Amino acid sequence: MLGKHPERAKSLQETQTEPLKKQHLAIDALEGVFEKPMIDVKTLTKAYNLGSMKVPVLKGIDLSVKVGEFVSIMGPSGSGKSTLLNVLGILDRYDDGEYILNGTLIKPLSETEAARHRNQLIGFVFQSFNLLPFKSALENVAMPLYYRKVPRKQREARARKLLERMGMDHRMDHMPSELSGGQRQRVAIARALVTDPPLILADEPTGNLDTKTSEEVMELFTEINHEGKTLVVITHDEEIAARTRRVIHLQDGQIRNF
Amino acid sequence: MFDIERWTELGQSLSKHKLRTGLTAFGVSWGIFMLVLLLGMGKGLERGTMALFQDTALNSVWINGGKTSLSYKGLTPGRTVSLEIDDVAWLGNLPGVESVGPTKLLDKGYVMRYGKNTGAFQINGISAVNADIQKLSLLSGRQINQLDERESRKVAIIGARVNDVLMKNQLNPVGKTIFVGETPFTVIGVYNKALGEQSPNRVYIPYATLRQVFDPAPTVNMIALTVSSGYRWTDIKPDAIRLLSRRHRFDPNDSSALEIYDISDEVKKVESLMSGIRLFMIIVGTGTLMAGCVGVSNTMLVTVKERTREFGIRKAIGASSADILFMVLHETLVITLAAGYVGLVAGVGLIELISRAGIESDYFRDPQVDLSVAVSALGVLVLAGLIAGYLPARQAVRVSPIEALRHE
Ligand SMILES: Nc1ncnc2c1ncn2[C@@H]1O[C@H](COP(=O)(O)OP(=O)(O)OP(=O)(O)O)[C@@H](O)[C@H]1O
Ligand SMILES: [Mg+2]
Repeated sequence: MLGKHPERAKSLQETQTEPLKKQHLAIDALEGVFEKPMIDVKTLTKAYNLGSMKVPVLKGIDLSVKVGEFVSIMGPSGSGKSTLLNVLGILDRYDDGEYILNGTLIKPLSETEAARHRNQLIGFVFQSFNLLPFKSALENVAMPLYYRKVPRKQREARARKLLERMGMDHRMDHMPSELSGGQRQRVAIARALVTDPPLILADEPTGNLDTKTSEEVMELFTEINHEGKTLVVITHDEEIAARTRRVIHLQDGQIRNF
Repeated sequence: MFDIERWTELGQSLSKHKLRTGLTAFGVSWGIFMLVLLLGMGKGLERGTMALFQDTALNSVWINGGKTSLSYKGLTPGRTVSLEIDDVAWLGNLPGVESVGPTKLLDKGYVMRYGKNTGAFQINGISAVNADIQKLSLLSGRQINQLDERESRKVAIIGARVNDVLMKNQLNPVGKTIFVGETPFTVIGVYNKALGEQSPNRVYIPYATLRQVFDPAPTVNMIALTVSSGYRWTDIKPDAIRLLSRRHRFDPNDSSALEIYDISDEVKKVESLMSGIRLFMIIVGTGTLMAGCVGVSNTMLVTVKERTREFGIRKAIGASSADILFMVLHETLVITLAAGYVGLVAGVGLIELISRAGIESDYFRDPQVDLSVAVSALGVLVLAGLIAGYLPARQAVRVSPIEALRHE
């Protein structure tokens, strides 16, 4: 697969040049991976129950994200971005419509199957990191592999490798409370990547970070995308959105334009 | 089921949350500890009380003369009934009476001498049969036997206090001669405990000897009899009362004419007291256990609620509901079992210590723990913990991961 291409395994430090990007695109097109959708959403709706009232939040979303795409979602606060991403990440249920993830209809999944899909297909990066406070950076990153029944040694080796790649070599044994926001987000991203999932979802991953760190995180995402992973990132930042290949605008629970 | 990965994860989860783990563990340990202590003490109480009877034949009955309270054949009430040695022989003929013997305690003390040492002590005349019933517990020597009685031998069993005063606690006074007034008595034994005595400071001699040497009157203080196996005192009692009422002329229905002390009746009373205490212990024990259950359940409930967010994170990265439920149950099981074991060992250890230290009184000795009860109690606590962990955990994993993550 694409991810195994030797040129893709370049380290973070190496800045990507335009021609190189073009080259990736060419390869992507060549292998025809863009044809197959990773995410296929049709007339999806979701409402929250507020007491006896139903508050519609997603009002018929149609969205298709192909394998290898890097998409950002923008929109005003309260427009339903997080709600949509949570549904895409199988962290939340939806009411009507259809969500097909990597060829599987998500709705009728049993709880166990949903857990398996979350574990194998999706890496989720939260705005508020959601690290386990009583586990070190290394243990947090290794956690998803535990639920995949990977032996401890292998788990830690893989987690170590990812943290190294995030430039966190010297912070592996630190607890989340001992890390800065940017460092925590790197740990969270490493955790999202550790199972090598084809889809990465990130809800305002740079929302709590300063400009410089945000830059670095986006750099990282671009690189991950170049390894062939599909990325969907929520952001408020035009500049960050501009770095993605496609921007989806959400307004009042509907997609405005592509 | 032994999965090393799960155990390391569990070890971490428990050790990183020391307060939570400690609280749960303490609840279980304390509950079991108190329960074991309670059970052990109860047992000690029971054993101590039953031991009060161990020196007495449990089938024995003591009869004392009393005062009449009813008029009878023209005789006014208020007469003293004083039993005599002939009554002993008559009672011995009744069916169901195994053995019977007299006791006569002389009111005043007699000055006794051994070498230069003197002291005044009470003399109690008994028969070989009484020696059996009363089971004087001897430090050395032998009991009074039939031959002593028949031949009115001048032999004596002296109390340990008597030995102390007269013979300065000689190691073996048996065979020595003491003088009561001018009459020499051969010491045949030393006792340290006897029914109805605070400290062993009497001298027991054969009843026949007592009559011959000190008081020829044919009266006795008390008649002691034992009941044959297959009979109960209630079977014999009407005959015995009829016999004595005819001989001493009182109304057989006069309950105060005789004072009858039936040991088996006393044993029954104590046994019913014991079953009362046992019932009390069951109630207090159940209460303790329930308090423990409530404590453990409460801690489990709170901690599982607190962990909702953690469960959300775990689910978001691929844990299934079953994984999380298993984790909670596993942790609960390990904490409660380990803590229960600690409580059990501490409780049993303390009881053992008390038992070893020989702390005992008239009503308390040799406490012991019924392990099966303690272990069942532990089982109940573990189960309570499991249920109290399982229910909120199931609730927590039922909601979507995002809802769990929103939980604070
Ligand atoms: N658990 C909930 N219960 C009820 N209403 C909710 C819940 N979560 C979100 N909403 C409502 O749904 C709407 C969309 O929320 P959502 O979090 O998806 O917005 P968003 O686009 O991510 O906003 P932001 O940019 O501020 O993160 C909002 O009006 C919000 O009030
Ligand atoms: Mg949001």
